[in-house]
Amino acid sequence: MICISLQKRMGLLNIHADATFSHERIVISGKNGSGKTSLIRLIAGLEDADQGHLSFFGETWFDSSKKFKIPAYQRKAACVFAKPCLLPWLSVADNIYLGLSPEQKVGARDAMQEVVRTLSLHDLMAKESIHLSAGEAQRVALARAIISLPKLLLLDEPFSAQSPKMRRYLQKWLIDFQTHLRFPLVMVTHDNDEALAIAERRWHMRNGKLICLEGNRKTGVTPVEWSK
Amino acid sequence: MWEAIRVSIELSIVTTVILLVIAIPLAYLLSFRSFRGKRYLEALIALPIVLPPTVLGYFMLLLLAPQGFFGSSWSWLFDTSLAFSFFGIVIASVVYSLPFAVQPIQQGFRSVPYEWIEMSQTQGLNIFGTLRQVILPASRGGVLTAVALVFAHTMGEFGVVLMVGGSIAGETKVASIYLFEQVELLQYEQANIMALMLLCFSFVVLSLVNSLNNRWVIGGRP
Repeated sequence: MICISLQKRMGLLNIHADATFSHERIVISGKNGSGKTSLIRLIAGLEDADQGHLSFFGETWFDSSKKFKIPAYQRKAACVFAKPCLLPWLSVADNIYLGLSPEQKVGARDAMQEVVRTLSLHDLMAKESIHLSAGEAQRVALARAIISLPKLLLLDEPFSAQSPKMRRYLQKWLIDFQTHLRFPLVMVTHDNDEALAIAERRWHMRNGKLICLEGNRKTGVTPVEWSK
Repeated sequence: MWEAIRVSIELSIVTTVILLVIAIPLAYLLSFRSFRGKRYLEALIALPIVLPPTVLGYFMLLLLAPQGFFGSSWSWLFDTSLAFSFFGIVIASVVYSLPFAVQPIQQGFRSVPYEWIEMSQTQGLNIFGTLRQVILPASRGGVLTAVALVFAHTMGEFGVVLMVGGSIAGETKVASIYLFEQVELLQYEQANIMALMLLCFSFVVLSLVNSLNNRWVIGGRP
């Protein structure tokens, strides 16, 4: 189980998250500024909570009472943000391989071919990353996160720059990929259709407070109710 | 004349290499870490910019002389004097050029988008991996500027070297001290040649830095 019990004050917003989940697809929705991205950053280790505890299948990642923290680079929680953050002096292939040792690169060759094929990146591999469109860059960032074989995948509006057709394709691909490997996935999206398509469980952020919506993903909770 | 140029080039190379090793961690510390006394450390590093070279040279001489703290320890360890030696002027040059190495690298580090650093952390890269694969390539313009500034600055060094090293031919007599001596001896032909060479050298170095910096603008084209 991944157990989250975190509190952090960020300006006027008080982030307060208590939740547990396992190898499933969690989708977080909520208004702009409600703290969704901050929660993702807290889980990834990019921010420290003021108080609380975070554990990943028995391994403590953060414990404020013991002043203990596993740094982000040791958590193996890969993040994909709406902004792809590709390194402009590297080719697309080198961007995807970022963080892998030479041995890991050799080991990841088959996975790389599969990811490149399914994310339609084959024609782009030798290109410089500054020549990519926004949608292509986002898919490269997704490939980079996946190729590092993360323990946990954190996605924050990862398909926001995709065309509707590509977006639907990627949603389906993500579900198949996660179903096959069964890794925990937390995704932030504003798109209710996307949330319904991907989520096994849905969370909602309201003014920094995390509300876990229990039960089936199609319980009829509408975005209108959530925006109250 | 050529001996003085050789000493200057050797001094510049050694100083540049030592300063790169010192300045990169210092610039990292000042750019990405907060700690008590950070502003004082920044001021201390920048001090040689405003301090007259002879004043800095005098302090260095006091420190490196056989009676000084550092100089006496060195003499006890290696049975040789630091003052009026090549190693002595290397230490003095390193201190004198420290801000010219740290500040451009620090500026380069600060210009790296922080989300790139966070991204590399979530990709499993630790501090050293992030420094090697993200921060240094992204701020190579700053590193190059530091290398060029330190090298050129050391080539033209006068006051500090004269105070600490004196003017021992083949050991501490650098190009600018040779030039000064030629003027004192009214040997204007030799002085002209040396002055012209130093001028051309500085111009070439600065032009090279500018052209490479333009080419290496992040995400841009030459």
